[in-house]
Amino acid sequence: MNDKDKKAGIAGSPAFRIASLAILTALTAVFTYMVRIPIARTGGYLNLGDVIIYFTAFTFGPVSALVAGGLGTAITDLISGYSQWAPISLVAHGLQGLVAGLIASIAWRGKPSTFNPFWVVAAVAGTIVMAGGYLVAQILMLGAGAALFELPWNLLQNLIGVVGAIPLTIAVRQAYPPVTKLRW
Amino acid sequence: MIAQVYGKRGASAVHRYDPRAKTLLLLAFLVLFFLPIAVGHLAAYLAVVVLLSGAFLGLSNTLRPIRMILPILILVMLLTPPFYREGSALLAVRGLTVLSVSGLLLALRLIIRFTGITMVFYLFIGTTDPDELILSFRWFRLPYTVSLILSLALGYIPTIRTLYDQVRDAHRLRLAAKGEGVGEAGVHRRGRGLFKRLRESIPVMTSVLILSVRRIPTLAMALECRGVGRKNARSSYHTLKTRAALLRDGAIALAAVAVLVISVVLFP
Repeated sequence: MNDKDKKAGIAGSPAFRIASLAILTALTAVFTYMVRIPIARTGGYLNLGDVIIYFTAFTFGPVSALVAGGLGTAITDLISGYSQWAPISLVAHGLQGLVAGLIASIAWRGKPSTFNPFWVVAAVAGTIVMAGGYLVAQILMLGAGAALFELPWNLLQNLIGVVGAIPLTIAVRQAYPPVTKLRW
Repeated sequence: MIAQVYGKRGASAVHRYDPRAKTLLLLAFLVLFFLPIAVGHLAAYLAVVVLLSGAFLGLSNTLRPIRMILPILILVMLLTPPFYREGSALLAVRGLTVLSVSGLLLALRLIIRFTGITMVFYLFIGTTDPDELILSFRWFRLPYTVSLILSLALGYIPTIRTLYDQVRDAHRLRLAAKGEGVGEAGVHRRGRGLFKRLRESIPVMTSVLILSVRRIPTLAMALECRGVGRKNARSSYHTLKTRAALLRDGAIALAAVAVLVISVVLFP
C-alpha cells in the first residue's frame, strides 16, 4: 500500500476495490438470475437484482453500483441465454446504479444505520434511468407496441428493488456495522 | 454448477474460431440487422445465420433461443401493426384500419431483427470459451482491472449461489422448528402478496449479503499477495491463439464482412 492508500484505510487499496467490485458483481448476478419471487397465477417471476443494485448504491457508493449493476446484470443475461440484452443491461443498470448512488450520497450525514430520505429520490431517479434506457432499446429492437407493453413490468421490477433495498440496507448496517467502512 | 452455467466448450469450427475475429463478425451482423434494407433480404441474412447455427450447434440448440424469445415475437406481431396503420389496408373494421401493409411489414422487420440479433449473440456466446472471451476483451484494450473483476465475479457466482442455498435451508429449518413452511424460492409460503413475500425474503438476503461482504477483505488480501495493484505487467495462464491463427481467422472474417457489404449494396 502507498501513503495515499494508507490514509484511505483498507478501502483505499486497488486490490480491495477489485475484490469489492467482483463480489458485488457476483451478488448482483446471483440475485438477478437465481433468486426470484414468483408472481401469483401468471407463472412469471420477478428477480431481486435491483434490490442488490440499490443496496450497493446506498452502501458502497456510485462507482461500485455502476460496475456491479452493469456487469452483474450483463453476466446474468449472458449465462441465462438472453445475451442479446447484455449490452443494454450493462448500460441501463450501470447508469441506474450510478445515478442512485450519486443522489444517495448527496447531503446526508446522519447515522449510517438509519433511513436516509435521499434513498427514495435516488431510487426514483434510478428507476427513470433504467426504465428509460430499456424503453429506448426496446423501441429500436421490438417496436413501440411491445416496448410500451414491457414498461410496466420494468417499473414493477424497480419498485420491488426499492421496496426491498431500503429495509435490506438498514438491516445489513445494523447487523454488520463495519459494512459502512467498506465504502470507497 | 460451473459446468452447468459456463459449460459451452465444443470442437466445431465455430468453437475453434478466434474470438477476436468472431467479435468482428458479431458487430457486422448486428449492424446488418439494423440497416433499412428490404424485409426479404433481411430474412435471407437471418436464414444464413440460422443455417450456420444449425450446421455447427445442431437443430435442438438452434431452436432453443427461438423458443425462448417466441412470446416476445408474438407480442411484436400483435402490438406493432396497431401503432402503424398508414398505407393500404389489409383489414378494416367499419372503415377503421386494423392492419395495414406497412404495419405488417414493420412487424416482420422487427421480428427478423430481434431474432437475428438473438441468434448471432447466441452463436457467439454459445461457442466461445469464457476465458478466451475475457482474453479477447483484453486484446481489444479492455483494462486489466476490469477483466480481473469479470474473471473473479464469474468464479464467485457458483460460490455465492451455494452460500444462498445454505442460508435459505438454514432459515427454512428454523421456521420448520416453529411449525411454519417455506417455499422453493426461499420465500415464505404463508405470505400471499408480492410485497409480503419480498419482506419475508429479507432475512435470507441480509445473511447472504453479510457473509458475502465479509469475504471482501480476505479476497483483497489474497489479491495483494499476488501483486495485484502494482504497476508491473500481468501474465495470464490462458492465452489466445497464435498470430498465424488470428491472421487466418481475421482474413476469413474480413472476407465475410466484404461479402455482406457487397450484398447490401447490390440488393438494398
